[in-house]
Amino acid sequence: MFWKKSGVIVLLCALLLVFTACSKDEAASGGSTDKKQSATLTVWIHPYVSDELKSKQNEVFKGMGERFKKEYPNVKVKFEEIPWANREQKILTALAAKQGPDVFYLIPDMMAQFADKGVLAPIDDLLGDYGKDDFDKTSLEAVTYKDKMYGLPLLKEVQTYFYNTKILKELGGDPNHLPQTWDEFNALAEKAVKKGYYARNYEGGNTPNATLYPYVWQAGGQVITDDGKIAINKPDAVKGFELVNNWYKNKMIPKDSINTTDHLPLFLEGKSLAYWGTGASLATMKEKGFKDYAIGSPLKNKEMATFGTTGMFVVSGNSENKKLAAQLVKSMTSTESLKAFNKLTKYVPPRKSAATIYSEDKDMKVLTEYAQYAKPGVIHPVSRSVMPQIQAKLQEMMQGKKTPQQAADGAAKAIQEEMNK
Amino acid sequence: MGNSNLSVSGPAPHPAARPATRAFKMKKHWNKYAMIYIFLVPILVHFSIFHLFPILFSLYITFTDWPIIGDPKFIGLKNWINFFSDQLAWKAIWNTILFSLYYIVPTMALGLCLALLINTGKRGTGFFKGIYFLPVVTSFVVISGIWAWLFKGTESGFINSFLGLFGIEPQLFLSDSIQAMMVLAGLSVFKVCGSTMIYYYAGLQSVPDEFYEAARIDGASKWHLFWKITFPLLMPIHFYVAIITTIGSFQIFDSAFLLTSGGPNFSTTTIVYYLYQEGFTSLRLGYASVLAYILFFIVFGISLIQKKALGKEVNYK
Repeated sequence: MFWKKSGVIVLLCALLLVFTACSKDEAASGGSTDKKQSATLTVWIHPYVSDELKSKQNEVFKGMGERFKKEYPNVKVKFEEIPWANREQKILTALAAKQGPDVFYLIPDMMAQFADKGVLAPIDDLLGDYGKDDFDKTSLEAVTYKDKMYGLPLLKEVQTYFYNTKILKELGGDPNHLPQTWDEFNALAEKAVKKGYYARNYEGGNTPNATLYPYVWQAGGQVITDDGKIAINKPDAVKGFELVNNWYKNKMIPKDSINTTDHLPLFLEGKSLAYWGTGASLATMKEKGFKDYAIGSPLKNKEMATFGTTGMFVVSGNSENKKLAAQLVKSMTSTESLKAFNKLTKYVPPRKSAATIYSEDKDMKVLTEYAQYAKPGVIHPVSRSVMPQIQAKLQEMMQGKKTPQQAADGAAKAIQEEMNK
Repeated sequence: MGNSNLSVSGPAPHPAARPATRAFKMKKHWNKYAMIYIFLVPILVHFSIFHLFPILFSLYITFTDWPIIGDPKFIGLKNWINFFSDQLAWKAIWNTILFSLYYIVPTMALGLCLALLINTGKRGTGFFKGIYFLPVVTSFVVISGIWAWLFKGTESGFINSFLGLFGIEPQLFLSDSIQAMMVLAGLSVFKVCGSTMIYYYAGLQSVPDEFYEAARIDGASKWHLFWKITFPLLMPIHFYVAIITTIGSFQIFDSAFLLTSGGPNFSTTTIVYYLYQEGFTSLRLGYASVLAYILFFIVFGISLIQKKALGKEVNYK
């Protein structure tokens, strides 16, 4: 009798130990993905649209939540909207306090910085099949840091040229044959200046992602090579600095280009031949009733390239339900979800199967086509923190205090110092 | 010392009597001051949590490498040593001093002038008091937006359009390293002078009329009344306003953040803006804390100098 009772107790203890070990394992690996499990996942989103469209954005996210709930009926998804301003602090302080969201939105340079600090959970092994081949290649590069995936792409942006067709015709240009190369654009730009127009906008107060890197890439250069070497002062990259310097010296861009952040009004007022903008600029043009535009390519010198951020959803390293959170990210970036989100926000969907939303929209179709040339910035832990320094070097060059080569050397030195810190 | 005197001068008290006396004294003290202590508790708790702890914690952080996430890594004096060789930090300090030079005296002078205007007691002064105070209660973001429009560096900017009427070339304003700081200071003067006006107005109310009457009988002009009576008697107000505008000027952040992002070429990067960049963009909380302490030492030193120079009382009675 004694042995029988003892045996039962030992068996119970062993079972208890097994269950405990299992649950510990699950917690360590980010929880389970049992479809019947109950949990609450918090997602931090931002206002991706204007206030007037806010209710429609809420509907899109509600739809994403419901889609996930069909698969995981006992999981509650809470969407919390965080303003864009100071979002880094909000995310970091919340995560530092072991609070904050399970899933949140990032752009590539922030992702690299956050991943480097161990804030994010790698999700390669948590996703399962996510339709890799359906995503465009550059968007997947944007979510990858040191060979690990930290998110899935939600949106793509693409920067390219919008031309004022009235001015273009006045200068003898053809809206059906817009410039493709630096030389073609600069020839047109010279004519524009002679007629009293600016050739284009240049918003030097924005990050080098928009103001320098596209021209470095178009010239065949790089900022930091894939193996982490500084290349911003190599001959090809310096051509990007020279291009900007020539535009400024030859008055092809406005005087306040050094640090302004908004030249769109100049374009809308008919004072500038071209505008270097995104789908958001296009939306503003339409909103203001501006119809005399044609969308051109991002230009090339050696290669066609531009900047276009890739917005992504990532999983917090603090999340107690990493596996579930990764599944939620997968669901929120499914074809159906991307169609709904990008159709509303007028971004380019990163999945090929979702690109059909713009089959009837001529302009967005063109932007979607150019999205293949859009690079997501520089994926390196220092890329974000070094931006003010690079911006300052460009500004010094435009003020005439440095030559393009000196500015590029200064930028290279700043990157090196940042890497050494 | 006192205890040994007692033991020599008289018989030692009964061993049990001493604690009883102490307990009695403490009880008496408690009965008398209990309410004071009770009322002090909330403020002491608040002070400890929201002031003392952050001050001590940030001092600890200065000796660490801490990117907000994870545990701080102790690195000794490295952050403090780095500060002395950080050219950008020194540039930020110089920019802040420059801003203070453009900001403190105009804010005080304009505040005093406005206070003198509304102190005349003429019809409509109440209305103007409200108008002058309006920028103080208006959001910095709104005023910055208006300022950005006014000082746009192209010919379409409002001020440039105005200057164009007189054949003056468009100015770069926010895109020029020298002018940008002046524009930022102008914005802050505009935003803050309404509150200095209120301080001076309160000060003017407390200057006794008999001084003016006596001076007028002696034939003093308005100029003399101001410089010999009003200005000296406002010395405590000057001192107070000088201290708060100096502290405010060293904490300048909003306008640099909203209008110029610290540029062009770091010409409007102030110490607090740089601190913010280091802490929240570069994720170097340890170094950002060093900058915060440097800022504290500077403001503390200047306040001491100001106290020496302006903290004298003026009494004509």
